[in-house]
Amino acid sequence: MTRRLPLWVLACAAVVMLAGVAGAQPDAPRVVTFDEVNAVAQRMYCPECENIPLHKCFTVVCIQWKQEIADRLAAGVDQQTIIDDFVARFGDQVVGVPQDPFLRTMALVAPPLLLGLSVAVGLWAVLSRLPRRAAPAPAPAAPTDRDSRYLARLEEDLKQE
Amino acid sequence: MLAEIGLSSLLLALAASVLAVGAAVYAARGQSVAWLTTARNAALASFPLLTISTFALLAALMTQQYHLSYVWSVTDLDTPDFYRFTALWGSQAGSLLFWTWLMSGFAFGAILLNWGRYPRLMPGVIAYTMATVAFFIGLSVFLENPFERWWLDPVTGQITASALIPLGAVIPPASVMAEQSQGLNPLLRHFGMIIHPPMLYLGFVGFVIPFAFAMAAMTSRDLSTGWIVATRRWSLLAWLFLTLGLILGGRWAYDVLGWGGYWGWDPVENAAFLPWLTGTAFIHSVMIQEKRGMLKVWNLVLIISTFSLVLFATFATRSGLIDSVHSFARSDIGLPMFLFWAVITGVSAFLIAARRREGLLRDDHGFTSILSRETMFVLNNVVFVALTLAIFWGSFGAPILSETTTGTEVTIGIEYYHLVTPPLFLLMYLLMGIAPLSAYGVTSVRRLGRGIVYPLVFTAFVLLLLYVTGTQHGGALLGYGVVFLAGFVALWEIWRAAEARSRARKEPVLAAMWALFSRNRRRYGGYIVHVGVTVIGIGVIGSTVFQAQTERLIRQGETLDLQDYQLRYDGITLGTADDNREMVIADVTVLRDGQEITRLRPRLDDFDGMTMSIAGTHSTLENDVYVLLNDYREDINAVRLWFYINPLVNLIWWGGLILIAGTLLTSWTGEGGEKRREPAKADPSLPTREGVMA
Repeated sequence: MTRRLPLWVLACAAVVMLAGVAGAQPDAPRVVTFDEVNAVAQRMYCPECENIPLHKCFTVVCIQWKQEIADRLAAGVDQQTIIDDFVARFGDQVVGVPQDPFLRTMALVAPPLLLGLSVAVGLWAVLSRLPRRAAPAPAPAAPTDRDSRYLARLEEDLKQE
Repeated sequence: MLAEIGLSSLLLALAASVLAVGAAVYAARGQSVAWLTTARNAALASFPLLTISTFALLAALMTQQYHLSYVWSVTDLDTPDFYRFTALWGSQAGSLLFWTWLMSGFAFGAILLNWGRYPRLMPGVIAYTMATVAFFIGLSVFLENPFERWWLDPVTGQITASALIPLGAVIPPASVMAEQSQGLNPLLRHFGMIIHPPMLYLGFVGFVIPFAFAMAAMTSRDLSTGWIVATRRWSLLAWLFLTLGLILGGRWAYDVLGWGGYWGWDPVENAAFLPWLTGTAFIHSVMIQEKRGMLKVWNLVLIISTFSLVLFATFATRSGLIDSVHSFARSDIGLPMFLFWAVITGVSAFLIAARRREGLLRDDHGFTSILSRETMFVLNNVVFVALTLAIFWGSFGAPILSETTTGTEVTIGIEYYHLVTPPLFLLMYLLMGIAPLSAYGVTSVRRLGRGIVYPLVFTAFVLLLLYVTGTQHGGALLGYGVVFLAGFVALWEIWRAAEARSRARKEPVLAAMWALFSRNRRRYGGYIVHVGVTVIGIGVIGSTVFQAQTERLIRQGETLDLQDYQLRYDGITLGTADDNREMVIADVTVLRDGQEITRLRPRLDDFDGMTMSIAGTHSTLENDVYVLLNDYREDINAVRLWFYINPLVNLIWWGGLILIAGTLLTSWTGEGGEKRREPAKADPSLPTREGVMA
């Protein structure tokens, strides 16, 4: 055993060295699918063709951008960082809703405000013209059975039309 | 010769329409029957003159007159006759002429059919319609002349386009011009292009008639319901054409643009959708004025907004304001169009304000109940207007404001619309479900509750069925719930009335239904429209929420999987079409659970460097299997395919057909249709029918 000790030491050292070498090797590049690229590209827009989503566009620049997205995904960069980087380099027109806080707020807050305003105006238009007391209910229809009552009401509606 | 005929008729049409405006204004001011007759005749003459002009251009296209710069730019020697015909509206100048011709046709019909029935309104109607027609003819004559010809300067050898003969110039050799001709934009080489633009244009220009009547009513101060009655069918007709144009546009995008969808929230698509929204609000709201004498200001605002949005959409599409697959190239007509839009909108707003101040727009009745049909219609209008504002904001407001105030160009894309519009559409469907159950005047909660019980039960049953069969997406279930409720209410209202009548009169249910439909087509046609909109809604939710897609490069014999479908690449076919486009066609087999269901041939069409991906589609009511060929790698015999499953997408087209049927039923004339109303009482100081005809 003592005679074999140097051999054991050498073998262990070799294993440790091999493991170290293997550990120092970079990971093999991850294969990125078109679907992963599209998941990022569909949140972006072509820089040349106005209003065409990046994943639907096949101009040279869009093909290059999609390749860049694929490369960065392969390098382990997450989707939002990739998009933020494109916005930093090319401006807010490359995304569907601006990333800039002010512009984003402006774009997204206006519609609920407009809706609120519209509803308020609509309700005001109705409520301000409602009589203070509830209007008397229409006289009950003379017929008593269900169908006749309904028909009588329908007739009333049709008379209005 | 065709150029001379076309140009001279165009100039005569311009003169006629200007004369019509002048004579109509003079007739209104001087109360002159003779001048009004002159105005009418001049207005009527502009249509046949524009017809000659339009057909001259069409004849030039069909007979390959390449010395006309328009014919040269939109056709070439390989263009088939079908596309020579559609080339009439294939580019700016031709489409403007076509647009103007359609508008003058509407004006011709409206003046002829209403002449004598609404004498007080006629001067205004003629003046406003013909002013609009004259403006568009002016654009055709001075800025986008379709009859410009190529001229060769023998000294310099330069070829220029001009409507008039430049000094010393000669006609260039026909063979040279033919060889150099450019051909139609590849995006427009689709069967749908023969029908989509004309429908959209008819929808757009049709709104000039209700607009002109509204303006005439304000100008003449005759603000009775006359203008509403006169324009009801015109409004419905324009709305029907606009709806058809939008649906066909969606179909064209689905087939030709290779995006896998039918609506991209592109600003130009949105620009056409905006007048549809306000127009829809108008055709609902106008009923309240007709029946109860309410919402007078609001109806004027809506119809003027609709026409203003039509003009704005035309400006946005044709001026180069927006760059889009749907828009025309940048052009000089932007500024005049913008000014015209601004003047028309400004004058209209001023007139509404003035007449309101004069007290001429007071409502005859007030609201009587928060649950009445009037209230429901107002709320429905609020939703339509909110949708209009939100879509306008995303398409034009925010981008323009950002660029003008911060200098930053922004894109407001699909994310924005998917965030902002669904709640509004849900509200729209909810009101569509409740409003038919309410009555004019007073509606009790009990009545509403009684009416909605069965539709609610049916809706709950459908939702349960969907849930059990695997639809567990919360948003989709909510959407389906609201949409189904609206549809079931419409069907239930039809059934309930027919059944009640059948029991009471002891007649078969179908006969009772027929009698009801005959008696009030407007009401029951409206329900059919609601059913159509419901079917469209189901298709939109299904195809938006549950669309599945994948993209991969596969070699011959390999398959691409998506859900329970497989796509096998069998081989490639290369070829050249009759019109010289190079085609790369992939042969693919679609399998479901291993069983072959169909073979598709998605292809790439190359038009001298411009490539289009034409989808291969297998359609069923359940879904569309939609395959795009993105690339062909000859070296490894592999194709990059984009494979979509679009659930329920066909319901959108079927719903469109139901909607059209309902609208036709609603606007059908004759017994059972709209009750003929007495025309507005004529002012004795103004020309009457007898006076004018005398």
